[in-house]
Amino acid sequence: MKKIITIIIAIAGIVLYTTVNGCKINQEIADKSGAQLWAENCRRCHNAPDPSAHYPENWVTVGMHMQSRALLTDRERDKIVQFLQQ
Amino acid sequence: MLNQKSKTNSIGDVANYEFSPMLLWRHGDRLLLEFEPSFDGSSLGVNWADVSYFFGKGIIVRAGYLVLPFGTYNKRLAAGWINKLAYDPTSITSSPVESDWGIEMCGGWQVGRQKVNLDVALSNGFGINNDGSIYNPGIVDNNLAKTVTGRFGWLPISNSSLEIGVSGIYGRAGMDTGVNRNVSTIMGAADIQYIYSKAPIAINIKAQYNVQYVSRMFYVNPGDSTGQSLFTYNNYTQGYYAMLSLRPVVPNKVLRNFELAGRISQFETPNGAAFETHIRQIDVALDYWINWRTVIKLSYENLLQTNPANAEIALADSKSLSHIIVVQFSVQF
Ligand code: HEC
Repeated sequence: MKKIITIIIAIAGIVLYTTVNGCKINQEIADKSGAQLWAENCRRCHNAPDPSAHYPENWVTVGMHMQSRALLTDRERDKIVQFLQQ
Repeated sequence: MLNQKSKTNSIGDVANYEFSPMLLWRHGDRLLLEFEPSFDGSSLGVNWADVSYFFGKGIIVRAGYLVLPFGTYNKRLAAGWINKLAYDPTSITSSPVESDWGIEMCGGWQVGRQKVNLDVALSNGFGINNDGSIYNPGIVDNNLAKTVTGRFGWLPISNSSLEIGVSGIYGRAGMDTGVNRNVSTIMGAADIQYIYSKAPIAINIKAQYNVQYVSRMFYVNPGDSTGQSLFTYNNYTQGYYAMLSLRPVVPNKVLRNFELAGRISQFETPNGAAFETHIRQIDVALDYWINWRTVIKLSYENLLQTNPANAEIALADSKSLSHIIVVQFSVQF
């Protein structure tokens, strides 16, 4: 139990440190395209679907559904949905 | 010494199927209803049925029969067309943590070059059986206490290729009255997901470790027919799975649809419990992807289960080993 608590505190410490260190939205990340965010995020759990896999209006539903599974940021969801709708 | 030993070899057949169509209904861009019934040929169940409200700023609030945010397998990887092996890991299927009635709040945020996410639920929680094992009471709770489940996820690399998560569950499992009313359950999990993809190979790693602890109580001795004598043990259950898959990233249109996956999983119930068992499950599969959501798996499973003898409660030991080869077809719809 002690070991587990030490590990949890250590992880929390690292996370807190990096959080405080980088609290400004990074320009490079803000500039990522929808296509890039799709390629990075949509194959983390399963194969990434192509834009042709659904009708454009369905991608909004998929975007919300996948945001709730993957806990994407709002910005990622919006950009990915936009990319998939083209 | 083995009193009982069994070995089976079987080839899976088409009679083993599960049909779980997923139904989504969206109202505007803030409300989403999710419903997944499941039918396995004999019984009809519900995997989940919930409504989510998208608050903005990355925050989602949910209520209903939801998948508990404990580890990542149940919520993110349990679908047949996502799992690269034919069966789910024993560390997951043997655990009482699955879906529960409750409310949930979750979200993901960018923090500099990294991302973090948080998922917290309040639900009915678990009940405790006379032998100390835990069960899921469902909609009619066994007590007034609610159970808290939470997971914190961290994506330290800016391309989201790595996610590390820690989860916990705390709740009172005993009834509201009686000797076991203060018995509580504490669980913890750690999970990791990593993907790498660059010609000529794509690598996928997924793993989750679970522990479950039930505070000390006395159980009725199943070896005593009068039901008078009691016994106890350290009620500590653990399990894990680790999966690795490899897929060629090559121009060849046939070769690049193959994927080779391997997984080991282990599950151990408490030493000294009447339900003590040790399970070791090894799976290997060669998959062929027809498209992004359709797969044919040629899969082998080796499952070893041992139940040690326990003189205190008059239990004999047993052991079983099975080899299963199955061809499974999975599609998302
Ligand atoms: C955290 C894991 C995870 C990530 C990342 C993920 N998905 Fe999914 N996806 C799932 C799961 C799990 C399902 C199966 C349905 C379910 O369990 O809710 C699914 C199902 C789907 C489906 C079929 C069901 C539907 O909603 O129509 C589509 C399409 C889909 N995902 C698209 C995407 C896209 C696009 C992305 C990138 C934004 C993505 N997924 C990222 C886990 C994930």
